Amino acid sequence: MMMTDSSINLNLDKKPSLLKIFYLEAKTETIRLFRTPGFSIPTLLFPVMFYTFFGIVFSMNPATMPTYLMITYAVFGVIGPALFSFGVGIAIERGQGWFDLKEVSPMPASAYIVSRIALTFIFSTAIIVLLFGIGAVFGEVRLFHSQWITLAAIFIFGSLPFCAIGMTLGLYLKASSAPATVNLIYLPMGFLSGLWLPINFLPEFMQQFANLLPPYHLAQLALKVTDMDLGFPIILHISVLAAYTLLFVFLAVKAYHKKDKQ
Amino acid sequence: MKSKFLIIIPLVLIAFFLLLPEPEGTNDSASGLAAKNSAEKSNSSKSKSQSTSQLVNGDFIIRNVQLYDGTNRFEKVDVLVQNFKLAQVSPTDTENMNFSDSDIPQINATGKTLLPGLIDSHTHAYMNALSEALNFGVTTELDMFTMPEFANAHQGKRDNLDNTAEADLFSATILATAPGGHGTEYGFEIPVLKNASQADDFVKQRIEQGADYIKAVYNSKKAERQHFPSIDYETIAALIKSAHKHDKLLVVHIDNLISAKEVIALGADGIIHSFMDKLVDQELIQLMLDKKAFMIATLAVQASVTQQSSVKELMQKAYNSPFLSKQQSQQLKATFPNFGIPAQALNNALQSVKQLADAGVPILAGSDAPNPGTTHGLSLHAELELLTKAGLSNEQVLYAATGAAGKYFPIGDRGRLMKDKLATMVLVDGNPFVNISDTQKIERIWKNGVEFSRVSVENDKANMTFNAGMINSFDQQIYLTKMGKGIGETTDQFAGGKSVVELSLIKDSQNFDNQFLKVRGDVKSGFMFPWSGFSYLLGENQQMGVDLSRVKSLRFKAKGSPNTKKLSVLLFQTGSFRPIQKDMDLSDSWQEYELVLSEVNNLDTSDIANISIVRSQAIGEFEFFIDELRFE
Repeated sequence: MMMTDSSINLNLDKKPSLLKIFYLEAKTETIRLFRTPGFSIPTLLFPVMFYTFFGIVFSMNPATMPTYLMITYAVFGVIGPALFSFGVGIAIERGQGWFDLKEVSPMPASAYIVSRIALTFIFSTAIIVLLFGIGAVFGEVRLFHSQWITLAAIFIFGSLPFCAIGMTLGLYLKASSAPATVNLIYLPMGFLSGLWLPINFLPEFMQQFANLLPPYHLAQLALKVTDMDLGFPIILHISVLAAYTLLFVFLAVKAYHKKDKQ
Repeated sequence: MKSKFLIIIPLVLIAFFLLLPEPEGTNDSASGLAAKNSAEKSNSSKSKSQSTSQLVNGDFIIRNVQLYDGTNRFEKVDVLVQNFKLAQVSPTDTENMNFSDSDIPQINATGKTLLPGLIDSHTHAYMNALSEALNFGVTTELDMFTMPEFANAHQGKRDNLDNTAEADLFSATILATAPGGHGTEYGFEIPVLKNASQADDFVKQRIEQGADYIKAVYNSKKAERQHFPSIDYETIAALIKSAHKHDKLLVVHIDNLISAKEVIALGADGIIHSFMDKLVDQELIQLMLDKKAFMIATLAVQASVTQQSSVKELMQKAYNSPFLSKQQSQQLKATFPNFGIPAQALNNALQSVKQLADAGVPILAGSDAPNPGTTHGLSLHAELELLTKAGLSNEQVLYAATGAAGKYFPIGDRGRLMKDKLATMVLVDGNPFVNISDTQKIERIWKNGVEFSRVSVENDKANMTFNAGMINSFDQQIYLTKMGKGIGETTDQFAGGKSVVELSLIKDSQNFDNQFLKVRGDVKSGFMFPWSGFSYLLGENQQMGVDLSRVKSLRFKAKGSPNTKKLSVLLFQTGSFRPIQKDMDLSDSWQEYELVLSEVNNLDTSDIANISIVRSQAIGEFEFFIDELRFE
């Protein structure tokens, strides 16, 4: 690995700046991911392609579908990078031994997590920009600036519970099985949460089941902004998402320590 | 370099978010506007009970119709409307199109004539003017003096596709006149012009207030009749100059030949009223030709001024009388005071119009409604008859009310039927090229591709009176009410929307004797301004109002599901397009609601046809509950 960045000087007397570490780690990770087409293309392309397909070209109701599906595909879009960058990423790095190498390096563990969260945010932003752009131009989605911005904020911060889920998966799964397993969770969960088609298109029992799935709650939260949600209280959705986050952070910490003992 | 990058990316993102489109009409409270429009829609569509045939919207074919497109006439063509627009209008487009296997509605219009929506080039619009106009196929009104508040409220709607319950309005707002001059006699405080130095400011103010063009009133010092003070020659000259400087048309009210000559020579774009003092002379004809000026003939009002109006005959015609509101009938029956203008004066006006038209001066049709003896809508048809009487060919007359107005006023494509433009048009029975009064035999009216169901009013019946009492306790059933016609579902499906609603009775879990109404539905956006709910029809039908003046208030209990926090109560006056809307907040527990009728602004409690309780604020499923609906 070549250190071509001139901003790094090896003045070891100085205490390293935590911010700088975060920045460098996030930057190198971002560059790495953009250079991994196996990650960047599907995560960016899938939501955009599906949205264009179901939300615009084959829209059943041009007045509401483009707006509704723009929101649900954005949810679909932002949970992708969270699950993949954490889930698959950590699993593969563990398999390659890269994870252990980073662990023994002087870099604090927080940098690892912060950089990956930053990475998720960057990909989320890219997906949001793409979907909003397509929605506005081709789907004639019209929202107030406050709504556009609130939605973007919900999507970006709404990816955090999925970062936690991804982290847990990454620590439990084997490198070889991780991509397939994450896909097996990601795609059906997206569908069952009503991200591909409006939730009320699904049979009643599936709608009930969706209540258990975190993407459903994130989507409902976002749909509230345009008054297209099913009308359950905000606090319910936030609580479920918070509960999932805490549960999976707990599981991840457990998995991390378990791994150490091996 | 790197830090620049860190700044540029957020800036690009901010720019991106600022560029994302917002809904139109963000200045108004958007949802309020939507609700208002949807409510208007709901009323216009509910009058459907009057029309014998199915309304045809959006996509349809009119077959074998005689078509007048605002300039040219085509015999026996098929006109295709797709997605509210004219997909094909002239026979040459037909060849490539095979309609036969199409499943869109077809209207056989053999023996009928399709005209562009008519344009009345001189009205004074207020109150229900624009809905009354549309009821007679007048789809655009060029107002020549009204209050800016009224004008602006309607000017803002004219480019909305869903503005299908009233005519489009263009307005001069306040006219330019002298202190005490014509225009000041109506009791409104209006700005007036004392001298030429005020002209430019006056024009600027009008434009700021939303004037689409400028109207001035002028009477030359040289004129024989000096019945009103008038702005002087220098002022009218300055007004014309200023209007043109600001790219606005200026039209002048004149009532004599000499004033007409002066303003045309000064460059006025048009004169209003065919003057009655003298016959037009060659000098004015030549001036108008040279200056490319037009005349808005207002023979209908001039017939009324000279006590020669034959509009009462029109009122009696079976194809007109059902569609005149009480107010319109009153306006038509009203007369001017006898100004002592000789009967011959009207002949001058008629002959002058004929001579101008023959010479090639553009003539536009205007009614000057609602002056005494005229009313919105019907009086334009009276104007067309009078123009024919003056000697214009039927084609010239039809052009005066369609293509000509569109050519000389900045009103877009209105007045013409063109491919890829909105289908705003009138289908009449018969052939107005042979008999001009056939324009009154209106079969169908489309505004922006949406068929407008003509509103008819039963004027003669006294309204039934309701007293306080239970309307429906919902303990036994939903649809029958203790008084009035009953309760029914109402959704935007009437207007082509897709919203659905379902009414059912639910047993109170605490008290099984008590039941209440559950209104469950889905407000869907198939239609631009959707609604869904139930309506309570008081009279036998939408056109029969009920007198509620002995009733203090409408009361009911209501609660909503978590997704239904707002409701609207819509109060419809008989024959009115515009319900009065009252929004209320719902909670998830039962609450008592009271609407005190006397506190509702602009509500004539003696004439209420329909009270609807609907959801229109938001798209999506909703559910609310109503109990003990009653008058107190």
